[in-house]
Amino acid sequence: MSTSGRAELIGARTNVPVWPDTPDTMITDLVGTRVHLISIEAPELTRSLAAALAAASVTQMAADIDEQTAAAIAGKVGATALTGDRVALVGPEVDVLLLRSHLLAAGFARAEVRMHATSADVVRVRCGHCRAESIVHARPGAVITCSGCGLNLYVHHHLSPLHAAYLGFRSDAEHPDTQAKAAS
Amino acid sequence: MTDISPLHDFPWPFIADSYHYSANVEPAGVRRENASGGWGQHLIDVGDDYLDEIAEKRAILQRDRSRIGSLPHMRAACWEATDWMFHQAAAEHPTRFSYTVAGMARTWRNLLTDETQRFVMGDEHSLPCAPLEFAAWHLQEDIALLDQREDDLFVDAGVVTFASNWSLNFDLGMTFLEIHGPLPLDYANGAMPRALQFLRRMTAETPYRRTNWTSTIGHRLDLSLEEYANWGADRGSVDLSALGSTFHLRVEVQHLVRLTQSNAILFLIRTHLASLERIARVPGWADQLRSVLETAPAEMIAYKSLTALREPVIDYLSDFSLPQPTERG
Repeated sequence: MSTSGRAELIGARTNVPVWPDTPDTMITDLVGTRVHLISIEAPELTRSLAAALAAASVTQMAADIDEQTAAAIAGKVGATALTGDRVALVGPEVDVLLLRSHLLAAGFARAEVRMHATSADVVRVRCGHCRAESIVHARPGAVITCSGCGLNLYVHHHLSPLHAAYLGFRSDAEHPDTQAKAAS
Repeated sequence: MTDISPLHDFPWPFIADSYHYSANVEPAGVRRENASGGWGQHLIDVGDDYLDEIAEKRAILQRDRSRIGSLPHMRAACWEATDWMFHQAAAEHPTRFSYTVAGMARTWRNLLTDETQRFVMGDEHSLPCAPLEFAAWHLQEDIALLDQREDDLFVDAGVVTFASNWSLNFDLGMTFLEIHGPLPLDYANGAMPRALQFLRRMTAETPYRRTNWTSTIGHRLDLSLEEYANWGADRGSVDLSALGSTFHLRVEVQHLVRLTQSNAILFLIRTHLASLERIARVPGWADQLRSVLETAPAEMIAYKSLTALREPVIDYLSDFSLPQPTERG
């Protein structure tokens, strides 16, 4: 990654997820012996997906999942998982990314977990300088204020699957006299 | 203080007068001669600046523990990598290091720092810290370990103090391609997937190496993202009248070693810095660097954080051009 990445993003390859309007690819990609569907605030979609995937289990959750809840859910799924099990995650991007990070920590491979985001207007941003995480209404390319150190952070097009967060780095580091306007 | 002493054994990364996209991987351990001497005969490199860099590295690790990372499944690979590095260092530099083996017991001696450590392979309590960090205390190289699974490589462990504009802490657990993103499309579609394929197929018989280059303002090894809030200002306010002493070419000699037991790939990064004024005094290098900068595509110049400084550096180097042959009338 490069802090100068802002300049050349046009025509660059990033790992920012691009979500289709409907979770068709999740259904076609997710081939396993059992599918566990975890859904965050998407009851209608959950019903149709549960049927299409012949889900072995369905977990419905409320939005704004915290670390503790995500760890508990991932631990529960992981504890009883068998070879061939797959997990499908549906909900806001910030929540499905967090759940996936805990599923990976619980031992699932990336190919065993599929995600579909029903919205993507909220992001978790991890400060590259103080490592505090901020959950804000923003997308990569925005400038936010770090909840930890208070620096203005550029939200980079660089996503950590482990931290379920986009990288934030000081937006005005090279020109500290110019104050970038942070998103509220 | 300005240092215009002649460059000695600097790993000059350019072999042509123009920039090429390339994975530029070659077998390791082969000395390459150049106008400053030569480089590359050792996988573990010990420079004249060893003691200074080791002191800087240890100080960074003491104040910022986030430079160390390891996912739980990498424990065995960390031990194996440490064992390999100490074996290699002692074999390549027998007057500086020694490493003796008796069953699972090991004795590491660093004659440069006058330190001796006995430990038992696999026993964390026999070392003052985790094995990979202990290795980092004694080697100038930054260390990363790539785990291979799912037809991919994941950076799942490392000790990195001299990162060039990235953060091990943030990138831990990423795939090979994710770590390098955002990537210019030519790179993303060409050299990087080829490099990944090459690495996945690497065997333990032949270690490989490559060089990578970028630039730094000031003689600064720690260009980590963690410190960007501090060093970024240097890049935004360059005194062009002092470009020769402040602008540094930053060359990483990267070694790649497949470990036999864990199947992880050990990725070693040794960073070398040379100021523009020292480079310009090596015959032919000013012309070659100028030519490379003139021919590199704009997106690659941006990727290397050189957009604002390309022209001033080219101008500076032009003053050192070798006389061109003239036609006789």
